Amino acid sequence: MPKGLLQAIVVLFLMFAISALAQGEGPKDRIKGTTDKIIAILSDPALKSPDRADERKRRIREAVDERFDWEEFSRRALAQHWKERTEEEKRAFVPLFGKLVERTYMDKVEDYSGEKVLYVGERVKGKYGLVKAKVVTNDKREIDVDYRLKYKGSDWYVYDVTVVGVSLVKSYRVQFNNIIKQSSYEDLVKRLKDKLAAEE
Amino acid sequence: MRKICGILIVSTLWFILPPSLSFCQSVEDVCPDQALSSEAPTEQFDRYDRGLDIDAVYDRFKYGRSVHQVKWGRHQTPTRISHISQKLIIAQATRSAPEPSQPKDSEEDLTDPFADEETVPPLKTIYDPLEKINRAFFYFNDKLYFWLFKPVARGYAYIFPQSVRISVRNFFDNLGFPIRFVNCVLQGKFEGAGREATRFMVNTTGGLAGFIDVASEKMGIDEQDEDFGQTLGFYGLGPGFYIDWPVVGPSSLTDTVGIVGDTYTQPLNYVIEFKYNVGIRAYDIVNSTSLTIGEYEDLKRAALDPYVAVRDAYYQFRLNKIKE
Repeated sequence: MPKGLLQAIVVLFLMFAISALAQGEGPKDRIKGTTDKIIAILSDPALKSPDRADERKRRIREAVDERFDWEEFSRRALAQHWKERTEEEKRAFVPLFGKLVERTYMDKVEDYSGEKVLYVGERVKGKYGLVKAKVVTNDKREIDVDYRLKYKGSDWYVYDVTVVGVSLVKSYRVQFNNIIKQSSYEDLVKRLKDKLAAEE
Repeated sequence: MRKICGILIVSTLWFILPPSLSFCQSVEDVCPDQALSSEAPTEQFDRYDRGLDIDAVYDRFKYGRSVHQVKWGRHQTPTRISHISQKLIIAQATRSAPEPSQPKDSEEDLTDPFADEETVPPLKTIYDPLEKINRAFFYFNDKLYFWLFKPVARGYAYIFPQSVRISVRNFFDNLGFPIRFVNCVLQGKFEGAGREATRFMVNTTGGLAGFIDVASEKMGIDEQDEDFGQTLGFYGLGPGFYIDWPVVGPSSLTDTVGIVGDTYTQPLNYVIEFKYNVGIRAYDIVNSTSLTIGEYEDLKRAALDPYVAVRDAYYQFRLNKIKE
């Protein structure tokens, strides 16, 4: 075999191996990809100036939207009340709730100052995945963050985030259930809207 | 000595009494035909969360054995218990009880609670019969934080740099060693107890009386966060109900007993006079508040009902701690 051909095969093989490594399929790689993207936006010095704050926010939001499945979030948070909603109500609810979760997430992320994210574990069970991460803060505390993902279509999407053992979806499920039981679904939507409007 | 005897008696009573009490409440929850026939609205799920682990209750129901023995057995041999819980699941077909998963991977949510469109996952939350009083205390604590602790902590943080405040936190953490050590031992976590002992020795000497957490930073030996409330939970005692204490904040019946128990394991409480102790405790709160300003605000901002959000966060947080 000519030497050139062998080299070409080796190079081709390496290229495949590298590309396969680079675009990992697992939920952990997905979470890592999105987190890295957001950290890159947050630490981009060009985006730090106040006049570009909106652009910065928009770009983080895009990165989050790409990975988070707001419908799944809403479905799980409303739980038994989800089935009682009409298609229209569902369509209206998903972006509302999505915005609230996103804002919560943005609050946490906005004052990012070089915290490290460690990925400590990954589990996949059928179309469900769990990624365990640790955020090491600058005052050296470790915060456990678990992401729960679901494989939909051809990719993994986040449907719940658990911070120090407190699940976002569970927390909202209890609150939503309380509000709906005590007053009504309409009141819940109203309160959601008020909450979002209050500090925009 | 009398104090120690007192707490021993109280804790023994605590171990014996609540299982039987909760047992009475839970029989109808466990009763198969009842479960099958009823539609099981959400409130019922709330109810069986209040007391004990349902598996343990069933086990006790069947074998007449005490709950903590059963719990102990579960940690040793998870498979032995699983056939019992299997029966329970059949009995509770309508209410989608959590599957008996492997002890370490307690993420029961990994499986899709919506796979079967008919079943809705149980709404796990803490029983709260004192909601009215608790809400009043919650309001009080909220004001206390925003009007007193936060401004004081802010001023304090302005004077002392973060590194100093972290050292102070380390110092107080180090003093909590006896509590963590004793509760590691009580839960049979001897490796954790060993780690705690090593940490205490290293940090007290090399860490200059605990101001520097050398054990974590240089040796990678992390703190084992255990307390008496968790020990009670470990042996199968449920939280009882929610109490939002003024100043102290979110707690439960069990955790309140835990806090009281912990004060007896803290040798400093025998040495230092009560009035000084209150001062030290207040300083500890201000110092740790100065390091966590913003966390409560974020939680409030994200919540539709802050009281419920804090209550549920407390419940989930403690549940997770007990699992660890």
